[in-house]
Amino acid sequence: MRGIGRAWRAAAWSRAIIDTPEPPPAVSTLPAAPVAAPEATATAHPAPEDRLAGYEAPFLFTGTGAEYFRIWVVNLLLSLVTLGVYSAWAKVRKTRYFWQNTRLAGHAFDYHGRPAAILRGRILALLLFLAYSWSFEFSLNAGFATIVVLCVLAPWLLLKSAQFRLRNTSHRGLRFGFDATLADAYRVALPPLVLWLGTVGAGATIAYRQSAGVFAALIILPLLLSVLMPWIHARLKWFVHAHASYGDRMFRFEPAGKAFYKTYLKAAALAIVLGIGAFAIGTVFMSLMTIARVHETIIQLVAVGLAALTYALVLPYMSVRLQQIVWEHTQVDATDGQPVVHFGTTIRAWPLLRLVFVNVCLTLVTIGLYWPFAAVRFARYRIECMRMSSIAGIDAVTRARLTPGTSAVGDAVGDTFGFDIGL
Amino acid sequence: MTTAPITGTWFDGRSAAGNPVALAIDGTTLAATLADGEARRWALRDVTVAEGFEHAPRMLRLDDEGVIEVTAGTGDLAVALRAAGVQDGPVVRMQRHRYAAVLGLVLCIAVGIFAYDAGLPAAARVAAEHVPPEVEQRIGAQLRDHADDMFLKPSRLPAERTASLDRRFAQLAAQAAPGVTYQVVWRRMYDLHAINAFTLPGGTIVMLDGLTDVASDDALVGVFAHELGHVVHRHTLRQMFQVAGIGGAVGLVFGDASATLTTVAAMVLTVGYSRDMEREADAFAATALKASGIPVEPLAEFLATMQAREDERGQVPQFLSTHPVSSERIDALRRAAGTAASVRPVAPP
Repeated sequence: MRGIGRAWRAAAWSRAIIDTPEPPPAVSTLPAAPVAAPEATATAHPAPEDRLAGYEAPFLFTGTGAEYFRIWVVNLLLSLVTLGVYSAWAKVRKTRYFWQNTRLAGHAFDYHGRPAAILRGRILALLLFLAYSWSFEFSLNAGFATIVVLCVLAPWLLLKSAQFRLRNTSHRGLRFGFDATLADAYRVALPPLVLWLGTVGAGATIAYRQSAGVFAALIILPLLLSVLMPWIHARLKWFVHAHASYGDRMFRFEPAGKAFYKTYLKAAALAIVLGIGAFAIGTVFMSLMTIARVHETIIQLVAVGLAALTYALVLPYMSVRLQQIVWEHTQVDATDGQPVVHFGTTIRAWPLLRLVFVNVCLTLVTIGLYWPFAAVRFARYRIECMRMSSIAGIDAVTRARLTPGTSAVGDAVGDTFGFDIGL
Repeated sequence: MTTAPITGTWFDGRSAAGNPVALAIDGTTLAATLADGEARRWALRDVTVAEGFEHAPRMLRLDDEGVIEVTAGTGDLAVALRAAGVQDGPVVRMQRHRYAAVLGLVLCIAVGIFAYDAGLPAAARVAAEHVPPEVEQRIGAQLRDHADDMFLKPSRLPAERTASLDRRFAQLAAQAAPGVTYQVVWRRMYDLHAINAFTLPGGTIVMLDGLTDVASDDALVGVFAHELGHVVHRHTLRQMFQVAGIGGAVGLVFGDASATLTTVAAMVLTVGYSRDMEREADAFAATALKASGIPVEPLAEFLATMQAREDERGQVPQFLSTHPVSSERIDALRRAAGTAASVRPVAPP
């Protein structure tokens, strides 16, 4: 069964993912939230021949920049005059706008998050953030106490955040779900947290005591963090994608650590090659400019520009490749009579780079006013690149256990600390 | 009264299979007719009507019984809902107004400018007033220890010069800001000849050798008066609150766009506050010098020299990067001290 699924998938995707010259007209992914919920499955009327031929459900995004602009402006205004309190309501409206405009096989998604829960989460997030940024100003002990608290809380927040997002997202009247255990969350989140916060702590300690141990920690911890990064990243993906469910159907995520390492290594190699090139060009330019007595600030700007260019070329490649890997490794398991559902994305680095470049330029030129249009364009590209395929439809998926009343604390804290757990 | 039928798909919340339905709103009831002719009814007050979007299907959420996704004829639905007395929320109604976006934008900008110009500085001032002096001292001490460990060394200035300067500083402070706690520390920047002086929370004024090497004692008294202005107005503490406030506000606007954009915007906006504070400190310095009968000209001349050096070398001395000088600022300094004289270009030393 699984073998057949793989063979079929390979055939279906080789066309979609590798060769597709243009993003196909109707397909898709999730909106802004990186981890966008794993999509549901789909088709309204599975014809008998589809069962044999395989079925590909189109993703479609129907939002427009002009319409989102109005929502954005009103959200912004109300958030400003209420000193940020309204931002929880704004988030719900924004998320609903993106989800309700995302269609899979003709039917839209919906979002059910409650603003009050999000507001509570934001207040806690703010407190934690203040503690994180100020504690070391007061004393070393206060700083380390905060680090310990963060290490203890963060995995729980990660879990709650994913639960809140998925359980409050629905498609065809059925909610998504998330069923990881707290132990899973700790296993996934603790290694990077300890390495990262350990580095922060060592950095703060250096101001008080310069011992060999502290210096060693400052070198070893970040080094370890970078070496383990692909593994950590793959585990975070696994955490979200392997514990999601839709109705009574479970998502599954095949281990992707090797593929992540390969991508990271290739990206690093690309960065080194580009970096050497940029350095060579930069050196020539800088000596010329120094001779010509060009203003120091301009020289610095050129250096920063070259570095940014390297970054801007490597990042889309990596992001795109990882998204492809993640969705290729994600599937919805078969349950009685139901076929396996596969995912994929036809997102590609060059169009993504072009889109991001245009979006950033226009957003800067318009001092931010273009942002809502940019957000819509970006969402459309990502969503319509998403693919979901199955040998049949999903009409027979049965009702999931409903788990209401999950708190939004994790979600908001995730926002503030930038624990983006998906792409 | 019955309205025109509207079509949609009812998902019962138990299965992903959809049932095509024809909908009607009948008084206070939502009526759905299924393809097989079966009719279902829900009281309108039990139905949560989601905000309608131009191209998205509208969701009628039926608590335990799933959702009706109204695919087409949303316009008809809106009419029917209005007729039945179901209202959109106030925000949605406000947004629907033709000029809502323009008005919202104008108001956003107005609120933003007001908050930046008056709101945040006032809030930061109030917040700074509520910080107990011990806490401010402690933050200052932490920063100073940190700076001493990282990049500052003891000054190489002869003890006689620092002693004589300390005396002159004390005289000026007693005259201009009686009762204000301050402390001058003399330091040398690690390897650099940084021409600079700066103030830490809690009233610590750091004078660097790079500065004392190039400035005359008279000019240094002026620089001290300027830094004392920062102390009196508790600028560093206020700036900490302002930076936090700007960070939060900018996060609201650009937060979901990009972290880099957020940081850059926050930095640019914060620079504006630094300028205001420099001006405030200048005004204090001018008044203080005048009150103590000390000429302001040495300070003005020193600033002009620094500026000339910048123009000459095409690089910004450190003093200027934290104390942006302009002819206008020097002029204002001279005017405030009542020694109005136009800025003379000063040859670099």
